[in-house]
Amino acid sequence: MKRSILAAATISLASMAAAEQPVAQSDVEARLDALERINVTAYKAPQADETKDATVEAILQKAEQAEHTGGDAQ
Amino acid sequence: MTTRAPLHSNAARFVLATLALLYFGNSDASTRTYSFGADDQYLTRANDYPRWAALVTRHAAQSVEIDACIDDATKCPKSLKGYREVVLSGRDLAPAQKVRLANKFINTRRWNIEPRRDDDWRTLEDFLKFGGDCEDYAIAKYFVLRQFGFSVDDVRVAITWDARVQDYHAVTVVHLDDSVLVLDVDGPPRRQMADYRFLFSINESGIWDHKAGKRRHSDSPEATHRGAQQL
Repeated sequence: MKRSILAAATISLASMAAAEQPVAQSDVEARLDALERINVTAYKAPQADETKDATVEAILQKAEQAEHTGGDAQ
Repeated sequence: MTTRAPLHSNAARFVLATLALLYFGNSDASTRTYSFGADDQYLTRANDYPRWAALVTRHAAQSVEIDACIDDATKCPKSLKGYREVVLSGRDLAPAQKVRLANKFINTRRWNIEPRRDDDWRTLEDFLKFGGDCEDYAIAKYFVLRQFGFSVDDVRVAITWDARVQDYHAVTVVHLDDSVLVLDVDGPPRRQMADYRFLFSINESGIWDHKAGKRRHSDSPEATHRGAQQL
């Protein structure tokens, strides 16, 4: 039992110590590759934010009005 | 003698349980809650990720037109007119209001799901012109907040795994008043998103891997689940 505990403790401490080491270049590339392969999907469409802040609402209204006046700059 | 065995047994269980909690519990907790201070999760410089580097370069080039528009309304293309109002009227707001304004303004933009093969990451200007999907919303909020004066150290785009629907998602995370706000497409800024596991995050200075040291991404179920598909 003591050996099992010691082994478990050694493995865990070694793993935690390894986590503190600087990331090797090859590992950085592997992780960036993992990031690149993640497919961020579009399952969650925008929904209205019902919270009201009078100042924010006034600015958004001005922004909407600006979008509907005039055309593109030349 | 007869009383020592249970004591050993209990002690062993305690030690093993503590070690298990330290190892696996930490791993899970590190991805459930977002921390801006987790230096051990820093992966590399932002420029090392070509997709993001290209996006930032494109945004910098477009910033000339954006800044000209903000300075002079007659120089604004139609797609930037609303944005100009938001920037000018919002620049003196309190930080929390700036976050709410950026979140709500971007969430009212056009939802436009890109074909999978063309699902690039859009700049703020391209997003305001054409709309986009979730990562484009997150990126646009990032750049609006940067325009509002938020430090690069306090804003990131985060890639998450939604444990409830078993799919990937992107949000903006903001460090404000010692707490973290998550800006999602479906409501106001939130302090917690219980179903999200934070995988990576990125800003103009760096990339963070939130499972760093805990489990290699290339071996994780999240990474291999849709490994053949592209962003």
